[in-house]
Amino acid sequence: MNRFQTLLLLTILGFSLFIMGCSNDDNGPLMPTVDFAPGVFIVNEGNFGSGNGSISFYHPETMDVSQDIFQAVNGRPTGDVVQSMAIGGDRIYVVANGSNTVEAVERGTFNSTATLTDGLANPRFAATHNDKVYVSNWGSFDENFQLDQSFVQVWEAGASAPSATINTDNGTENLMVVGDRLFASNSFTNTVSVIDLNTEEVISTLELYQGPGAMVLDAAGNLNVICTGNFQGQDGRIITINPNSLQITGTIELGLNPSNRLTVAEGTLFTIAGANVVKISPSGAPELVSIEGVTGLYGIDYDAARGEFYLGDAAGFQGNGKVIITDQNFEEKESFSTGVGPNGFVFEN
Amino acid sequence: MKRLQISLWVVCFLLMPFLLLAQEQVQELETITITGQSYEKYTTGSRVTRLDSGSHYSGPAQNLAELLAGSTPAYIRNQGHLMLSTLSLRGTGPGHTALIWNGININITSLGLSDFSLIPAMLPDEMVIHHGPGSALHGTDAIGGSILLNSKAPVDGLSVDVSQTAGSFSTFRTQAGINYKKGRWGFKTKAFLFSSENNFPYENIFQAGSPRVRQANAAVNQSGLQQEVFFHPDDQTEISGGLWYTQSDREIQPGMLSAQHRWQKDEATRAYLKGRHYRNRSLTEWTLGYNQDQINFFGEISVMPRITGRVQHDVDLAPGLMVQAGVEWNTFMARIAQYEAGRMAENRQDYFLASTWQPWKSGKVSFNIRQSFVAERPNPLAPTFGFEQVLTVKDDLSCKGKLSLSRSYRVPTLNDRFWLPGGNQDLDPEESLGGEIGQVLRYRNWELEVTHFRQRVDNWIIWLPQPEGYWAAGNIREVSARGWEISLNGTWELAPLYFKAGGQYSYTRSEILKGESGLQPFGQQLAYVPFHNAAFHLDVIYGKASLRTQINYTGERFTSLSNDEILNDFLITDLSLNYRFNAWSQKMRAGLGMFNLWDVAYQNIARFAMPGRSYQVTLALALNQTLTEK
Repeated sequence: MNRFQTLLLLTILGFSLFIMGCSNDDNGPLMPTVDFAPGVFIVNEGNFGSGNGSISFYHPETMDVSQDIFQAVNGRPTGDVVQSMAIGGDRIYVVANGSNTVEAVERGTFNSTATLTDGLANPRFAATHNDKVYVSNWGSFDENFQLDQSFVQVWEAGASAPSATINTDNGTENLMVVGDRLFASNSFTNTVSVIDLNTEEVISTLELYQGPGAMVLDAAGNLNVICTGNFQGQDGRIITINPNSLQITGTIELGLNPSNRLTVAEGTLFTIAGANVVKISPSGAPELVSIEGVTGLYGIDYDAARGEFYLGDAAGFQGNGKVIITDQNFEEKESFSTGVGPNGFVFEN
Repeated sequence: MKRLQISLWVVCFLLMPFLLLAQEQVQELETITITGQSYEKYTTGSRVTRLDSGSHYSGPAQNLAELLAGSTPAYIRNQGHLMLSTLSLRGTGPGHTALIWNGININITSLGLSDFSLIPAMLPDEMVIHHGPGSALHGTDAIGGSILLNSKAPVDGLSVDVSQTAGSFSTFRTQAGINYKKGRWGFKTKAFLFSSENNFPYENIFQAGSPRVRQANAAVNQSGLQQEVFFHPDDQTEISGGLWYTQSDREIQPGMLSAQHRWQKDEATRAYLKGRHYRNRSLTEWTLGYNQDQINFFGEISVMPRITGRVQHDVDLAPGLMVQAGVEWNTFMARIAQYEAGRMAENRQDYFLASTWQPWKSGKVSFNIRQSFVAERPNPLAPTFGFEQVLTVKDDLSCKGKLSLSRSYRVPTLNDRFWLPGGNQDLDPEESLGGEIGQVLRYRNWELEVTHFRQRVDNWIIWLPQPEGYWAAGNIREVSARGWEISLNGTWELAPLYFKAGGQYSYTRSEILKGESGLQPFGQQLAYVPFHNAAFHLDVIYGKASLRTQINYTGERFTSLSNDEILNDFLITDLSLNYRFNAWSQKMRAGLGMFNLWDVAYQNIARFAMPGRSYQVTLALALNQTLTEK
């Protein structure tokens, strides 16, 4: 190797060092303001710890899908483990479990108005009522992964700190407002806490069955609670309670451990297990409906206005999920790709 | 059409040494000898990368992940800085590399992979990467390649060296080594202490207003010790034994959007005892090994001990023909709460045969085969065929053609088989069929190696949700990986300067052929397998001073199998300056390191922060002998 070659090599090296120092920042343009109504929000949970949760929006009229709308509108990601969202008044609340945040966005535009963080500890679900938003929290885990105290926070619209914190039993998950009562299912236990929204105190703790979760009101005004059952117990149940008298009025044994999902369509309850929809008729055994081409169902909701089911396939969390829209017999009408881990749907009319 | 032409040219180039076999001027390959590491004579035809041993002990890298990223085209996935680091060789998965310490596979048996951030760079004396499928030689997991960490016998005399490093983010490393050999006995001790607050500042572009924040919950504390004894009772016998203990206590760095506070403690206890007995034209080698990993993840403890025994015999049957036969047995145990009764134990046996033959002076052929059993159930038969042919064009110019075909396997991990619910003892082993063709061009002090590889991995195990409501392991995926590896290494002198340069580039296409039905259509690139990856280093040595420039390029990669989110490529430049001097009549070395020189904001794994520019200084002292360098 002669002197010239050496110099050449050093020059190339020096030049490459120089160009390496120059960075290329490319922040894409933000999405023009879109009216996110009417239509269907899809909550895509994302992979745990990866910060890739998102919200998608589907327009049934045009069949257009807008992916990751929070990022598109606000220029930053939604959060880690986007667990749920709730609509109330002129706000939408997006709960990011892994980020310990609740994003309050403007209804219609999805513009972020505030990021709620104060006192949140593993937030799970939100429910709204009269300008207030209630957020269920598992609470924090200590050094040895033991849960401290689960609770429900009360936030006034526009406030930067919660106005009240109501202690509940372990693993507080889904929330449902019925009249002036808030039902909070404590998923690590067998209880549902009943909170009076006027006094913001627990007035009763109902003992149901192991793993209470999602709740729906049926046409008769009864509250149906899915209990996922004991670990590997194949003993999930649906327990019906009268929200006024707080009496248990019915129990259906499912003979399997369902996912914590529950929806009601024309008087019949539905949940999911693996690649199956579980149809729960009040009389008779639960019926499994296998959905073709699905890796693992992760979300189910029923759009009463159109008489359509929305199913979320998480595809094993290896990549983007899929939304399948079906008729009432689970015949596919439409399907499209969505974010990672679609766990639920919120209908905006 | 143009593509075809290029392909034809490439094939001609690669086949040149074979086509010109009949030429008169042939160079002799190194004669096969019975000494040296026993596997090396049988790696004919495949790419082998040997790491510069100086970089282990006195280089700036704390762990193997950092060392590999800077010096190989292998892609290291860091789940944050100093956090879980897994390796993807030749477009395969993190469990597809066999990590072997003095002949013992030390992958964590429950997970079937290694966390390269837990393996200190200073402990092994020698590190060799055997690329591509190699189960015939290295047993399970050797699908994308094998990494061999070897100890070397000490040199005569006594030497002690001690060094202290301090760096950004309250990072401190103290290390010491003792080498002693007199007569028939030799001893080697290495120990280190490492700690880092790891609270590096970065701009959190994922928070409103992109605030500049400090990384929280990422502190690391590690320490370790390796003691080895070497004994030669007579000229024909070598006995060696070693003990390795490392521990790590880490907070787990959360993602840039996550608020999690978790921690993990890891402990590894390993031991080996090895004997080598040379006789006239034969070598008998026996190894006893113990390897135990203990993981305490947030209070949940799993312990995985493993005992290994192996006997092998090499015979020099005829000039240029050597055969090895051997048997290995392993007892795997694990105490993991989610297994039935909280534990498992099983035996595995391997029977293997390796052979290498020089049919003519410039050519060499190897044929190796292994049959292993897991609790009496046979794994796929794993043969390897390799061929090399060298051609000398001029005295200082030669080329060597290489060809290799293999079938490899990977036994499902203990979690894949025993975890309740979802583990499945009827899972098939993953298996891979692959081949490579390559050429090494040597011109004076320069060496260019070009390799094209192709392989298919079938029965790839992944976990998917089940109707019963839990996740379960299944033989789901089939993946085709193919690509190129190019490396160029050389040295030259331009008095008073001396230069050493090395560059590697790899192109990897790793395509899903079959998989989870929800992901159709197939053809996607595997997540976190960059198409382009490169590393380059240049050492400039001037008297007692040396300057190393190291550049690592990681190309764009997809973050999931959907192949829609692309993570930006990044290029990191590190500089390290070393100066040797005498003080108080002792040999000293002062080092200054600058990492991520251009302060590039990058993510290795999406939404996990990595540090910007950082510094470290080192002061080393060597007693009685030169510093353990070069």
